[in-house]
Parts: sequence; C-alpha cells; structure tokens
Amino acid sequence: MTLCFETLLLNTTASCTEISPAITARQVCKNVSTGAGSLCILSNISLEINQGSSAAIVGVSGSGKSTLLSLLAGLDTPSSGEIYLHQHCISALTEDQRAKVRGEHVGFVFQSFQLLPSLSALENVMLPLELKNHPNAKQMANELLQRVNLGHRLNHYPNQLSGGEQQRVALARAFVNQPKVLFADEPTGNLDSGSSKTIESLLFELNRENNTTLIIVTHDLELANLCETKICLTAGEITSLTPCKPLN
Amino acid sequence: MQTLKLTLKLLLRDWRSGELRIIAVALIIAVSGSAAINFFTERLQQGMESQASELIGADLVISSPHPLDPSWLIDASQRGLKQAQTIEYTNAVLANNEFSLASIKAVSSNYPLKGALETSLQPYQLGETTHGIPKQGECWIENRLLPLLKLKLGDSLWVSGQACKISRIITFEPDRSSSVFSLSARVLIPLADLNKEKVITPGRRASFHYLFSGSNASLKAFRSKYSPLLEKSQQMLSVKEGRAEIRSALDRAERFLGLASLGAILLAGTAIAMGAQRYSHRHMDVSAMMRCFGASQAQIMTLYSMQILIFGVIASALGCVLGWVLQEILFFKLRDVMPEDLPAPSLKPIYLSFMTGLIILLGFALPPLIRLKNVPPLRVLKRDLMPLPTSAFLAYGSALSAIGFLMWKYTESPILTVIVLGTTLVIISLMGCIAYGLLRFAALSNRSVGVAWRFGIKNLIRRPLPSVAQILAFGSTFMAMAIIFLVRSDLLEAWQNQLPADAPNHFAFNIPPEDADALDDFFIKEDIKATPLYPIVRARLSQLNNHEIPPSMFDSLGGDGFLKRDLNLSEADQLPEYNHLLHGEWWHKNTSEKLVSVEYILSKRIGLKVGDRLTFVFGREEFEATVSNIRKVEWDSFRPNFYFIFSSPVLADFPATYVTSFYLSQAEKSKLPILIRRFPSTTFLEVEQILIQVKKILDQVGVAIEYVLGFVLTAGFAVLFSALQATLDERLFEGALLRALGANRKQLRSGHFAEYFSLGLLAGLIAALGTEIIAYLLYSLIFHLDYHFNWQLWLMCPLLGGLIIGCVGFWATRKISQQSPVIIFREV
Repeated sequence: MTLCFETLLLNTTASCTEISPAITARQVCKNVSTGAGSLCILSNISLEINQGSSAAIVGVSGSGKSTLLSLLAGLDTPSSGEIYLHQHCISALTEDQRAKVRGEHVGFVFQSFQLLPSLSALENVMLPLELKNHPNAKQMANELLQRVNLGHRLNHYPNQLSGGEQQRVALARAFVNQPKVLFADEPTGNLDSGSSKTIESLLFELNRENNTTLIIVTHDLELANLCETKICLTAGEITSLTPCKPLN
Repeated sequence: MQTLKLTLKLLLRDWRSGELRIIAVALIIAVSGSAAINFFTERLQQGMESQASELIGADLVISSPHPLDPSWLIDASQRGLKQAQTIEYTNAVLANNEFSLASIKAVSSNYPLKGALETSLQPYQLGETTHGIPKQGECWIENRLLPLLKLKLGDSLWVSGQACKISRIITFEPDRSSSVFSLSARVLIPLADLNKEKVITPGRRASFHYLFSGSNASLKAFRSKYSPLLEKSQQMLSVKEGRAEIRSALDRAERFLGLASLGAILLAGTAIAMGAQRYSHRHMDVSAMMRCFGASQAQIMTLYSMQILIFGVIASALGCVLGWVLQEILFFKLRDVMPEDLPAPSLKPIYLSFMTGLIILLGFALPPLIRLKNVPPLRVLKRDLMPLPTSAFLAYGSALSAIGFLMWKYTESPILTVIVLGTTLVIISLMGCIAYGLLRFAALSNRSVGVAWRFGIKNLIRRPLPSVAQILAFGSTFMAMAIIFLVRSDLLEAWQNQLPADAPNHFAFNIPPEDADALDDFFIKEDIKATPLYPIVRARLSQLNNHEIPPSMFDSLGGDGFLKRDLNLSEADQLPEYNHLLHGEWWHKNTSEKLVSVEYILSKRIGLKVGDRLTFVFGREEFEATVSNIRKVEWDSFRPNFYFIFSSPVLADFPATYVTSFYLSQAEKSKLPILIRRFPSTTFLEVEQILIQVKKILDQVGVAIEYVLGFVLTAGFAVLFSALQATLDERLFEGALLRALGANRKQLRSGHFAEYFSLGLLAGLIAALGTEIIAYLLYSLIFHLDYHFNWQLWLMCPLLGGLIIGCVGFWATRKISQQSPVIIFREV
C-alpha cells in the first residue's frame, strides 16, 4: 500500500493555528546517480513537524530514513521539493547558510557518538559553543555534563569512556546549544539495553526541559513508541503515519 | 580574539593527541637543517674568504689605468673600509752602468691589507713572512735582478730617477699571481718615494690598484655602488674573481651546500605534505562535526590556517634555535680546521630559515588542509563521504611555487632552479610510470613466491595508486640521499685528485732556452717531480678567419681586454695533463700542419669552432693556425695552463722562454737555493702558501659537506617515517581484522615485512634510475665533473631500500601483534 500525504501535520500537543511548524517538507525527492543510472532514494515526501513535538522515522535498512534525516537537518539538499526549518527554506540555501541555520537551531546525536577523540568530554561539549564564541562555554558544558551524570568524567577522553557514557557526552553536546530541533540517528543503536534505557530517558527528559523538537531515526520500536508520532518509510516513501501514546 | 582562542585550544589539543608531531618533526628538521647550513655556510664563507683574501692582499681590489676619483676613496673611508694603494709600471732600472727593464711597484705603508710579503735578507734563500714595506730610500727586489745588474744586497739601484738602497729580496707577493709570467723582475718601493708627476706621465702605462678591506656589509655596499660605475678599462676584483684555484672550489662548495640544503628542504616538505595528508584525513570527521554545529567553510578555513600559521611560527622558531645550537656544536668540533677569528653569525640565516619554515609549511601542508573546509557535513552520517580532492593545480602548484621560490632564494641561480625543478618533475613522472609497471610485473611473478610474500605483494597491488605514491615518496627520498652522497663523494675525490699530496708547489718561468735542457736534467738527476717544460711565445691575436677582430669582441670578453695584450702561447705534442679534449682531435706527434688547440671557455666567448683560422702577431710578423680542437682546462691544477697551444711547426721560428711547475717536499726545500743560484735568469715562484690555503679551504668545505649530508639523511628518514605513517592506519586496521579472524602472528608479521621490503626494493630501483639521470645532469651542467656510470647504485639502492623500509615497516606495524585487535579498531 502506498500512501501519498500531501501534508501531514504532526502535532499532538498544541493547536496548529497557535504553533508554526518547526520543519516543513514539500514534495521532497532525492535521487542519486549511480553507474547504472539515477536511483530514487526518497520520493514525494511532504510533512510538517511542529515545535516541541517528537517524531520517530522508522523503516527497514535502505528505506531512506537517514537520507530523510539528513535532508530535514540541512546536512544535504533534496533533488527537488522544499524544506523549511524554522522558516528558513534550507533547500534553497548555500552550504554556509545552512550551516548557520544548523548552528542556530539544530542539535545532533549519532549512533556512533561522533565525539572528537582528541578532545576530553568537557571539551567535546564546549565545542559547539566555542564555534559561536560563547563566553560561558565551559560553565554551560560543565552543567550539562553534571546533568547527564558525568560530572566525574569531565576530563576523560572518548576512548576512556564506555559506549553509554560517550552517548551521554554526545547528548550533553547536542543540548548545550539549546537547539530548537534535535536530530538523533539511531541514538541507542550501539548500546546495550541498560545504557539504552538511560539514554532514552535522558533524551526525552532533556527534550521536555528544553521544549525541543525531537526527530529520531531508529530501528528500535520501543524507542519509536516513546515518540508522539511514528513515520514509517518504505522504499523512500512515507507509507504510514501513526500517532503513538501522547506524551504528558 | 575568540577564534584565536579556539584555534589555540584546538592546536593544543591536537598537539596533545600527537597528531601534529610528524609535521612538527619534519618542519623542525627542515628549519634547523636550513638554519644550521645557512649559519655554517655564511660563517664558513666569511672565514674562507677572509683567508682567501690574503691571496689578493685585500678583500676587494679596484684596478684602473688612471687614478680613481678621490670621492670614491673618501666614501670608502666613511664606510669604515681600510685602504691601501699600489701603483705598478714598467721602467728601466740602472746599476753598475747596466740597465734592465723592471716591473716597479710602489706601495702605500699599510700594504698588503690581507696576507703578508715574504722576503729574505740573503740572496737565493727561502723567504720569511715580513710585515711592513721598504723604508723611504730603500727598495726590495727579486733575486733575478741581482745577476742581471751585478748587484748585491745593500747596493744602490737607480729607480725612476732616484737611488734606492736594496735592503731585502722579495720571495713572495700575496697579490702577484696574475702577473707571474711578466718578463721583467719586480722592484718594490714605498709609494712615498714615487715622484708621480715625473713618473706617471701621459702615455706611460701604469696601473693603479686600490685595496680595500672591512666588514662584509660595508664591502658589499661599496661594491654594489661602484661596480656599475666602473669604466671598461677598470676592474673590480674580490677573492672569488681573483683566484681561479679558490674560485672553483668555493663555487662548487656553494653549489653543493645550496643543493644539499634544498634537498633537505624538499625532503622535509614531502614529509610535511604526507603528514598533513594524514592529519587532514584524520580531521575530516572533526571538520564534518563542526560543519554540523554550524561552522562555515570560512570559519573552518580560518581555524586551520591560523592553526598552521601558529604551529609554523613555533616550530620554525624552535628550528632556528636548534639550527644555531647545531652550528655552534659543529664549529666547536671543527675548531682545528676552521679559520680563526670567525665572524659572529648574522641574523640573515635566522630570517631566511624562519621564512623557509613558513613557506614550506604553507606550500606543502595548506592544500591538504584546504580540503577540510570542503568536507560535506553529511559525513557525520555517511563516513565514506569524502570531500572533492584539492585541485591538482592547487596542490602541486602550491608545493612547486614554494620549492621554486626557495630554490631561487637559496641558489640565486635561475638555471639551477629550473634544472632541478623541471628535471625532478619529469623524472618523478617517469618514475611513477615505471613504479606502476614494476607493480604489474610483481603481480605477474607473485605466484612463484611463498605465502607471506604473496600476501605482502598482493597488499601492494590491491592499492595500486597509494602504493605507487609510496614507492615514489620512498624512491625520491632514496634518490635525493643518493645524489647528495654521490656528489659529495665525487666532489671530495675531485678535489683530492686536483690537489694530490705532491701537487706542484713551485713554478719556474722565464727559463731561457739555453737553460731548458739543463733544468730538465737537474729535475731528473735530483728526482724532482716536474711537469714538462712548455715554451712560451708572447704574441697577440689579431684576426679570426682572415677578418680583424672587432674591438666590440674584445670588450665582450669580461671587460679586461686581456686578448688585446700579448698572450702566453705554447706548443705541445701531446694533450697536457689536466686538460680534457671536448671537440676535435689532438694532432699527430710529427704533424707538419699548423694547428692550434683552444681553451673551451675562451672558445665559447669568441665563438670559435674547430676549423676556424686564427692569425696572431709577433712583433711585426704574422702567423696563422687552424683550430684543431677545443679543450677544457683545470685552471686550479697548479700546472702551467694555456689558452692557446700550437702544434710544433707554428712557433718553431719564434724566440721563446720556458715554464714548468714542480714539487719540492719539505725535505727537498734545500734544493731551491741551489736551483736559484744555478739558474739565475729563471724566476722561481713558491706557491706553497696558496696551495696550503686552497687545501685548507677544501678540507673545511669537505667537513661541512659531510655534516650537510647528515641533515639530508635525517630529513630523508623523516620522509620515510611520514610516508609509512600515511597508510599505517589502513594496514593496522586490516591486520587487526585478520588477527580477529584467526590469522596467526607470524603470518601477519612476515606478510608485512614482505610488503614493506617489496616497497623499498621497488623504490630503490627507481631511485637508482633517477639518481643516474639527475646526477648526470648536475655533473655536466652544474659541477663540471666527469660523470661515470655507477653500477653500485643499482645494487645498493634496491637492497638498502628493501632492508630499511622492510625493517622500519616491520617495526611500525608491531602493534598488530602486540595489542588486542579491539584496541587497534578503537584507535584507528
């Protein structure tokens, strides 16, 4: 079954007339050229995600989940269609302009943590603020690391931390910027179940505390069910949109 | 300010993590090597030139047929230059109702400014160093004037209208070499005794020599100001122009040191480029991450450029300090062979080396770092996404511009720059193709070797482009090291051959024909090693192919117009020793043809070729000869050398004197007074001092060259290490994976040794080829040495290459067998 959603308004917590969408995608397609010709990765994706909501993008491997996340986050540009992130049409911006939007509005958490190996936990968390010349980078990074219970590991390097701890550092780094939208790519994909639980609860707690829009790409249905909405991708198309249990 | 703070923080963090160490080591080697060489050569050159200046009696001499504008001399005084003056002219001297032509030299009280006269208080004795000049009313003369005018010491000699008492015999004049073949004997008088108005009249040929000495800066400034103002008849002479035997040694040494320091810089540059490549590769994730966090391309570029600039400044400063320390150590170690009173080093080497560090870093490291700004932020999700490679134009253009600029700056020779740069490029491209061919060949012959070797060679073939790049890096490094080693050995050998222990240390000239056989017999009887006796006929070149030689051609010959004057012509049946035939053939011993052999540089200047006809004038008589061959002359061989040598029928009818050079050991020195007494009409000139001076200079340069070789080798090893590191991560990862899959330690270790040994072997092979080509070009175009094929190169380069790379690679990959694969995965 193929469903074509002209516009999906993903908002279970507030009225659409009161809150402008954090992300809007219209008729987004992504094709890549291969030796054998053009390959369609995403086709005809249209959606709206409101500020403060949470959405999980699910689907089998190769369904286009990560590509959709990269487009919505402004890491890549669509072959056609438009994407708005907090009123910025990021699909029409240059890479540097998109970087500015990312710097102002977006945070990231990755499956492989992506901590910089030469930096300590504290320095990793400080980096996004330092790039913006933030005057209190150290203090804010310190507070966030305390918040994720890593106050005792400030000066440890990534290779001295466990997977769960590394992801907590990554979470602190993602939130230190106080982003309006947080993109998480398989945030628990590399973790054991215990660490996964810790990360999940931290992720949603921080999300609530900061009123962040959360978009998660995951295989983990349990994690997906924690989100307000589940967007299911099959072969590059949105095949279902399921509201999950409401968040309080 | 914030960006600077962040830059410093990131730089510090990168330094802490060890990422920058290879680049730092390479940069410090380049800068310290270059600083040490610059310091060393500057001080050595100053020292050597100061020693060598004793051979022209000053640091700088201006010769003129008329007195110099007094404002020049005032200016020289204001610049703090010491001055002395000599006036030379030919005039008859009288005594005991006899007269003879003499070459009179009137000298000012502080003559000579450098070096010293040697005189004796007895005729026909060896001289001793003498400071000062004849007192007023006295003169010093050469031995050969005594029998001509029936004189003895203490007698009066009538010189230019006044009587002088002969108080000493001159045996050595530091600045006389250019006129040793003068037919007239020397008479030295004080300038104060010279009645200039009477003696220096219009029409009388006199030459005025102004001697200067002082600080290098003042001399240089004085020289640059007045050199362009010289008339054609005036000549400015410094040590290098003054003495052929030293000029050639200094020139070659300078070229070698310049080349060697360039070699070290080029090698360090390669190491930096490779280190930067790895650094850039390892920072792609960081860059992608920063792009994710909102950093703009300009911000990334600023961050990395500032990082590299700060890093470059610190490393270059460290290199300069290290270079200074190294040259101090070097001079301390060489204090026995170094000139005394060495001047303190100037700041120029520091400035030059510091700039070298920054230029080389920017030229070689910036292109890989520029790539970082182009890293797509999407790489955070797809790690295999790479930025577009830096344009080849930018990458190679930047490195080539840096090296080209430095080469030009170091050698001040556009020819050397173009030759080395152009040929290196062509040869590296050629080597790249050959390396690829060799890899393909290795792939074909892979089946006939054991498992470990198959594994190793397969690893190389699997990554053909990185493997070729590595073979080229290793090959170029070996090539640079081999070239420097080869040139150094051949230069030292050439100098040793040029001045063997028994090189002639005395000249005998103005030998009358009737004494020639007797002198030859004396040499044979006393077992004195001498060169053959060459006749000298003095005649002037007048026509080329039956056309008068235009004055413009004379003027083009270095401005000194020596061709206008009578030349020393000689004849020989055989090509003299230390002469090499370049074009044409030497004539048959009993030829009846009128032939002439011409010196190569002169032939090039006048545009002579084999078959041209030359006409000479002797008195009123003309004679002709056809150019039979062109020969290269080693002017610094301490043997009689000639621009023109004729077949015997040409000069047979003209009166000639003879010239020879011979060697007397310390034990045989007592034979000199006997010779002087037995052959009173002959002038004997002792060139021992010059010979010792030249030998000492060559020894110093030789030691310097050995040390320079050390720098080049160190830089070479930095490249090797850097090139190994460049692909080490990939090898470690694969090795760890194979171990995790169950490969045993021995298999992996042998495989890695085989892989690196093969790399080194192939690199050695192409290095041997490159060395042969470049060394041939350098020898023929730059060093003017004879080149010979070196079969040892073809054996040693591949063998040593294989062993060195094999062992270093074996050592570098030891982690695979020592650490758990999990740790390696985490680290790489």
